[in-house]
Amino acid sequence: MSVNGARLPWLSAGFVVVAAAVSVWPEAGEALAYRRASAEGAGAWRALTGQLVHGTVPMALADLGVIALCGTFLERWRRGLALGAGLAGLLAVGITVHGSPQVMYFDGSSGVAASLFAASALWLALTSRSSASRVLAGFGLVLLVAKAALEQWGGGHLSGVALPDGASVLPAAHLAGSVAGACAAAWAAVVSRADRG
Amino acid sequence: MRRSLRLLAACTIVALVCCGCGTIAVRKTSNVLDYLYPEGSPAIPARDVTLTLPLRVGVAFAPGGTATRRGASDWVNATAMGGEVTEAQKLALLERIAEAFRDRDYIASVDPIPSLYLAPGGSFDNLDQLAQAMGLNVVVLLSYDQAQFNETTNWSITYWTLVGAYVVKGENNQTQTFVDAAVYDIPSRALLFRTAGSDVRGGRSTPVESPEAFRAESAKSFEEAIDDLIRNLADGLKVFGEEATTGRVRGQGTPEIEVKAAPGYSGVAKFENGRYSGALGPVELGLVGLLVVAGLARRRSA
Repeated sequence: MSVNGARLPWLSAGFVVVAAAVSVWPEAGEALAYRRASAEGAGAWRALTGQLVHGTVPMALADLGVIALCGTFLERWRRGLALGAGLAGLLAVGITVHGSPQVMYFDGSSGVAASLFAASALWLALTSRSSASRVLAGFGLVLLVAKAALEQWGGGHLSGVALPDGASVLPAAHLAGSVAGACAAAWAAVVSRADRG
Repeated sequence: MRRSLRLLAACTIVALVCCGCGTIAVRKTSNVLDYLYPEGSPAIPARDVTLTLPLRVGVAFAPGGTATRRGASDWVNATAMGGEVTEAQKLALLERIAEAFRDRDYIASVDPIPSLYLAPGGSFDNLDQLAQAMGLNVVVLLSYDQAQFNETTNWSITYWTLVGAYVVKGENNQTQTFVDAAVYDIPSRALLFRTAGSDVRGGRSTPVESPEAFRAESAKSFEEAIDDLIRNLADGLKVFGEEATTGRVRGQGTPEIEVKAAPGYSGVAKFENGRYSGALGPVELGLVGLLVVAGLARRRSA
């Protein structure tokens, strides 16, 4: 679907609308958020749906804002990459959350946002003709991964966003999302070159 | 005429002075140290701690609470202001704390312990008996200090009409509550950590309503202080979990600590509440700005 030749980012818009609706509807949030007690066995899908739920408005604005922006970038360039990076991020964060025994409850779509950011940055770094654009995009990606890695293994978190009472940030989700998004973009670049070659 | 006016003015001044100076203080306290280290008992050194997860925790108010009243105005009966915190009240507050921590993976149970089970000055011997009877590893002992003040304001002059004592809120009441929680590992006698909660509230009442208002404010203030304590306990547990990973209870000079899992337990290793969120922050938003600039540079070169 396009308007005046420009692709409409309906995938990103759809995700943002659904996530915003779930976040302002407490009953839906309660039903979809990840709870380890409910997620054992057949309830493991909550590790995916929990990423649609946001406990506070600033958290939703930050996560969904990045998804809207990076998703729009990717969809205008290559919609398949946007879909692939989004799904890869969703899955990678889901596995990380369910595989981390200390996580009893999880919400937030920062992993998907990190995945879309990483995919946009790497795609730009690999395909742009402008060297300034390549350097800036590559620098952004390195900083994102370095920050997530530092938080994961160095401890602490630099977020200034208001979290729900008693909640901590899970840097592993950001790291998993970033790596998944970068892998999706790298794969798309390889396929694109093979098609051209 | 002039003489009677002077008499009226003098009476008014005397009444104002008498009515405005009444102050009642009700103080309710209980102290963990009096319970654990009664007068004359030798100091008990803490040993190294071995915590086996999941924990079985007991929560109790230190026994031997007292209530004292000081001062009284002509209008308010001090003995009607309420005495010691009742056992029912204590159990309701303990249940509030227990409920807030029961869902944690590393806590197998949280049992409120009635004060009747704790002998005043019973010390760790009493705790050992409880630990065996209830299967506890850790106990949270609560101390409290609640002070209530009443000041009779100048509006109390209307009390002389008798109707005023029923309708004019000339009594200024204030309640200050402080609740302290000390978390002990029973076998090692070690204080794992301590934290506190507090509440200050005030209000006005008629002298007739004062005893009822005092009791209601006392109960409400205890509830709010306990809610504050619950929040601080959650933070304290998190800090304790971080300290425990360093191998000491509370840093250098405190007993060593080892945290191990009971057979079949595979839950969280740290003392966290297990609630996590995925949330990007200002740094990531700044990076998105960088990406926008990169995108614009690409567009310009195309």
